[in-house]
Amino acid sequence: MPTGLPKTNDANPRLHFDIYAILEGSQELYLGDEVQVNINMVEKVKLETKDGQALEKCYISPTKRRGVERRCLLWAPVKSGELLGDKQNCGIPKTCAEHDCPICGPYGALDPGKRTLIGRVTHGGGVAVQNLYPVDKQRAMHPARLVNQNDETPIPFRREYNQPGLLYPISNHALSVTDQEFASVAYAFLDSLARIGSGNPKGVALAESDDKMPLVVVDRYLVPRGKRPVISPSVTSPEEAIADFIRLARTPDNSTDHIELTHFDRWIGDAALEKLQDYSSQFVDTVLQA
Amino acid sequence: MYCVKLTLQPTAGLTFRILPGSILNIATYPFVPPTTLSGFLRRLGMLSVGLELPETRINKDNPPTYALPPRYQALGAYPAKESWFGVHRTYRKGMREFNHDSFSKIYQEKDRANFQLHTWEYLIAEELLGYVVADKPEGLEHFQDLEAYGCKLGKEGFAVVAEASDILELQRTTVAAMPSTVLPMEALLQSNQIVGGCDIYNLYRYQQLGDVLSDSDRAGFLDSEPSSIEGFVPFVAGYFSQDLSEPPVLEYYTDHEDIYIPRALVNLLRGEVYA
Repeated sequence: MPTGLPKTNDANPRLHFDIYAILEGSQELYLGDEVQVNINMVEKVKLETKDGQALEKCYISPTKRRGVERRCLLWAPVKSGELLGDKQNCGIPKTCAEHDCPICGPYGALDPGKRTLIGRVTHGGGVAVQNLYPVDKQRAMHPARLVNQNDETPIPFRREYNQPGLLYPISNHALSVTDQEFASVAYAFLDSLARIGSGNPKGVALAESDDKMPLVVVDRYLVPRGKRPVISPSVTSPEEAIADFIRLARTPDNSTDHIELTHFDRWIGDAALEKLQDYSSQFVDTVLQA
Repeated sequence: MYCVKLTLQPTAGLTFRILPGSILNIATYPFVPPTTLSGFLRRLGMLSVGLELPETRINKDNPPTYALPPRYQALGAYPAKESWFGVHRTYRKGMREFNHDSFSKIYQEKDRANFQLHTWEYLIAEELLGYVVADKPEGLEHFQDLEAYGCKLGKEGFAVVAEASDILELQRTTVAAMPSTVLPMEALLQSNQIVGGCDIYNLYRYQQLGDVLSDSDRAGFLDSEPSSIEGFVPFVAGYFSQDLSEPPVLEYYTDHEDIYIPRALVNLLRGEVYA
């Protein structure tokens, strides 16, 4: 068998899924990159054109979102009182690497020298829209910490933070997964939003359009149709990014929040959020509460 | 020579590991290497006819390779001229050993920090232009069917075919022009031109197993047969990240507009010349 994956049945076929969204930093976020002497930097992306223009932007790296999502699954509470990772005997970096594990199945695993299970979920995007530079703050300067402590001398440091209100267009792509496997992806995506960012504060929200529509799109397909609402990292205007996202999401049918074409379903806005929540409930019912 | 130009839209940062490389310093080519594009397009071809993606096995099991059949040559994909791109260099904590689960522990009795610090590069780009060439136009229409399909691209990343051009006929001519792709250094050296301004990379091409040219324009592309590839052969290529005021004079396949494909690259990837 060239794919190495076991066959599923007619009732549970493998399909492709995409989640597209624009996330909004609800408050300051620290997504660390490197530590210089007494200053913790956030990860920033530099872009340029061949004719020499340059841009620098804040970034939520897809690898970091992926790590948070995987841990959301590992730490999901199971009915028996244990956490899913303990129940499956699956952790990081030692994974169980079973193809029917609700975590390793879609997210992939490596059992060095023995088994690889290629992840079928890929994370993308994350370059902020606005080119708003991070601001640094003084930390560890509380007067209570500055008095001479016998054994530990506090070292004040500064830390950069991505500023609130930044928009981050992102995407999760799941190729050749079953509805059940996508249920893990949907649960992890929704559960991870409040947990993105290192230290405190944490959390991003789904951004909304002017008429309060959450900027999220879910595709379930065999054949891709319409246009993918992917925002180029070069866009710096939030209005333009949101308008583009909605325009691309609503191609080719502007009148509905559920586009149905042959081998292609797209849910937009509240309908998409609801769809993700349905999948997420399916995960809770069939994995966590089973 | 016939060509389809594919406009790829990356949806994520992309890593194409420069090999040979180090474990701690994961560097990326600032473009999609020809072999990587070949494997990507093969997988899109499989998706487009409703096949599932191949799972590959670990190295010691001699895993199959899935690439385009030799009838079609993928020449790599490169940031478009007017577009934004950058190589993002960052720091990542990687695992030193895989036999523990301290990275997923909420409650840890003893600190078992067991990571190693990597630098990791990602190509972040707005748009990439990729090229596929063939001697005959028959079959190239399948690449136009790949429009809107997307798949993993590179060690890390994902990209979508945003647009596929018509089948373009290219003329063979010697002219001064900036190559649209990488250029085998051997071609530059043999032409006795002193050209600065290019970055030099070690790249690889597939070594096809024997004479496997098939008459079918679908075989080894729109099916799930592993490619008959024996291994990889290294070559040295130059990549011009900026236009030169005096471009090199070389033998190109060209549409006389914006596509200039060095003939030396096509011959090299086909294994007809060694460099």
